[in-house]
Amino acid sequence: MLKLLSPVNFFRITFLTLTLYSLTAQAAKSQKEEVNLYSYRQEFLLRPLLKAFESANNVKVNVVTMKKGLLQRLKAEGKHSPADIVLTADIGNLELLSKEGLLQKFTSKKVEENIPKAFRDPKGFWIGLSARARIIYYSKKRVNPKELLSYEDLMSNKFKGKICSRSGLHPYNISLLSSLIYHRGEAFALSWAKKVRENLARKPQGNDRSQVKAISEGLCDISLGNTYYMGKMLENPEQREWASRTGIIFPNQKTTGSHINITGVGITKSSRNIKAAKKLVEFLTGGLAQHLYAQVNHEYPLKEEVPFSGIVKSFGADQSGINNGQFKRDLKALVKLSDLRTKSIKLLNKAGFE
Amino acid sequence: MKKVLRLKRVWVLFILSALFSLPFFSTLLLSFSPEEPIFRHLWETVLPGYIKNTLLLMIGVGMGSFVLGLVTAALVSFFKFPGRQLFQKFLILPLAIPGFVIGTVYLQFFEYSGPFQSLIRKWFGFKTANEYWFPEIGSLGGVIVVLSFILFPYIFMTARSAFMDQSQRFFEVSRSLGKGPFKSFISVILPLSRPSLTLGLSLVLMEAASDFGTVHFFGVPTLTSGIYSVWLQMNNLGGAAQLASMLLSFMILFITLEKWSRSQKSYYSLKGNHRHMQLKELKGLKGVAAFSLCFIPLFLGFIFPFSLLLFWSFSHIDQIELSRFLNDLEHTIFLALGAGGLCLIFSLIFNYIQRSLGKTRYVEGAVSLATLGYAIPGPVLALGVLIPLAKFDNFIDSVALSVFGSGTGLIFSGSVMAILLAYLIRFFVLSYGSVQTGFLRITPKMDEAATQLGAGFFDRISKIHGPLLKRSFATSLILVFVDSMKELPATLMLRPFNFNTLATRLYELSSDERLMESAPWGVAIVLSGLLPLIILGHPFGGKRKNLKEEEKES
Repeated sequence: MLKLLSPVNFFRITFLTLTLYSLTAQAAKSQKEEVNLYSYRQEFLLRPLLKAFESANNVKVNVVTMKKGLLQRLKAEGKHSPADIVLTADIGNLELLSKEGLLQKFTSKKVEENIPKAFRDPKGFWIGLSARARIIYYSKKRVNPKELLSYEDLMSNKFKGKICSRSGLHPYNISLLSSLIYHRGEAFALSWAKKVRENLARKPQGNDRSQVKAISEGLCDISLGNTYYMGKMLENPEQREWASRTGIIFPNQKTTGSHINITGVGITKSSRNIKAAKKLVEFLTGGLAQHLYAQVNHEYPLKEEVPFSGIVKSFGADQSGINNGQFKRDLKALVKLSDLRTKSIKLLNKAGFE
Repeated sequence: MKKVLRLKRVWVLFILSALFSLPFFSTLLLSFSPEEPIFRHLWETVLPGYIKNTLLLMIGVGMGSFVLGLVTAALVSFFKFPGRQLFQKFLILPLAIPGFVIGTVYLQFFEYSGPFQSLIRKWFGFKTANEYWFPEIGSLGGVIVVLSFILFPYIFMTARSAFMDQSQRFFEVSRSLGKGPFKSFISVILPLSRPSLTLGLSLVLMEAASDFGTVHFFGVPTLTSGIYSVWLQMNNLGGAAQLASMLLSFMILFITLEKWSRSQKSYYSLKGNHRHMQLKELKGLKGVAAFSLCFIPLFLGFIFPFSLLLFWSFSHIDQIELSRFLNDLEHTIFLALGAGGLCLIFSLIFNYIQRSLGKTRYVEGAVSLATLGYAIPGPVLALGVLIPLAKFDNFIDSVALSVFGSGTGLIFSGSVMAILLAYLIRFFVLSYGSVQTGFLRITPKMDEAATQLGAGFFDRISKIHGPLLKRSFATSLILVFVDSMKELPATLMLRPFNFNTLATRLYELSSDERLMESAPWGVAIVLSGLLPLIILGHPFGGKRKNLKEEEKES
């Protein structure tokens, strides 16, 4: 055994494996039509969708997912990037990609029919697929939802030591603060971040779900979170209890509307499989895919006829003005989010909201 | 002729260390041209906090793992007590579990709603968090403790091999001069082990400074988190590079300080028959104490988190897609083997050249540069590899286009080669250090004798160096293999299409709050990490036949 694995043999084996591997990798590239996808979204969320697309169109979809550094990789690869489509979970990233000149303009009748104008790039570089709202989670036991109708209400002294939050510098919170900068100006946004930080029950930590857990455990009463997490928690046997003790408030319904952000796609400038890429984008905006976002992920589908999931329909049932889960969305701030991102991060740094 | 050969070697050395310090230099270069001047803003807001946390983290983890590693290594090296044989083999196991996995396991276990505090509340009848005090686990102190229990094996390993090779004679001389055993240990054995201990400690410090996942989960912002925020969220590559350069300069400062203070002393080796340390038997309570001192770190760093992973795996075993799992496993093992092999080859090249050139300042400098990769945070490393590679690919493409009329596209970036290069750069120091320690055992006189007996270069390698370096090879392979199995940030960012490793899949699942479903992948990482230990033999196990060789450390 040891003789077999002598250092010299080890090198031989290693080299052989390396060469073989790279050769087979080359040979494995089939002739079938392919489309290459860079995704901020995790693969297991996408797989069911892509499978449906692959079998319907006889196109193979290759995926790399990464939450960090996707834009940077695309930028470095430049005009030879193998990516055809980029899928991001934040409109800010789509805007950034288009500003860096990494996307190409794209028009399709089908897409225009599927997705309302408000969720398509006015310049034609990207298309929204699904939306989510950043809303307020509250303890049904300890909070009177009538006292908490807006993001601004979170600044109130009566919530001192009652709020839980994930890191202020998480993209979801940055995006929310950007919308506040847009509507109320920088000075107000800064004092909002400061006040909310002062009201925190504990150091920012965990993700949106951990905050709901903390509310159900009595560590705090209020947190900010994305809508779809409520749906996911209600479906998860280990998390159902947390969610059932927690209610949802759609903030700012009388004023700007609740903050939303979208998941969307764009076709890269370097794309060499434009036909297949177009097909995929059309598919993602179509009925089947939109239905899956709604039912599986509990997001808001952007294609109008597609219904919300049952759970999502029930959100805000006891809040006046909200019927079947339909609420007022903050559409105005949406396209400004990417411009305000750096400013927003700076304010969070200034407020010490880590 | 000889001069030409020497010059060639210098060139090879320089080119290689330039390649290995590619991420370092590209970072440095970028830091001169930030997209938007950001340093002042950072300095006035969050940067002092980042620096403080980073330094405290390094100091805390450094001290924590140093004590843990040193105590356990000293116990198994100098004393006989129940379980010693097992401890000397198993105390390196915490290295096999990815840090972010242990981190999340501990957070979940000790947080307010976790089983531990729930139990306390049940026992004492507390209802809310205000009624009792419990240390906040998601804090700097929490990370320091957890990282110390994960990283102490680096100290344990290096200390153990230093102690193993030490002679009873020094100890006896010290004792006969009237010093007690403890004092003799402090004043004789410890200083003699210093070069090895320094290697271990610098690995720990670099690992702590570049940690991304654990500090993130614990909510402790360090320079590394700052790099992430400035680079990926503010999209300010240059600004992030400034922070990265700052982090690297801390490391360089530390290494230089150590080198400088060591240069005030020299390390001699004595010829003669070495007798190995005789183990002193610890009986009764002392034995129990020794057992506990070794058992606790092993339990907290490995047994406990691994048992939880195993338990979760069995409860979610039906959810594993086997084909996917095997695919991930194949990718992971391929990368780990490739990185292990590459690192070893380059360590040998470096060590041979260094040996033939002798100790000079520029050679030392080149080596220091080449081994810096370990201190670079994963994402920065990924980018430091990606940008130059993509530039290179694009250059080749444009050359091909002008010469042959058709481009080549991207060759290396976005391929497995990019990941391998990143691993090679990151883990080179592990391999280099192990091989170097082995080479110190082979004196130039042995080479001369072999040459006089007519042995050529390759004869020397296969007949003399090979056998003598076997243990170092094994250590090098094991370290690089295990660390590659766990590597996450660079793999995530550099991987090709449809490519997952055990670690990336584990991360994707656990970051979606599906830690329990991800457990089988964690178990697979740990078990495959153990594979090389089984095949190549344990670095501290087996016969100690080579150890009679004279020690020389300088």
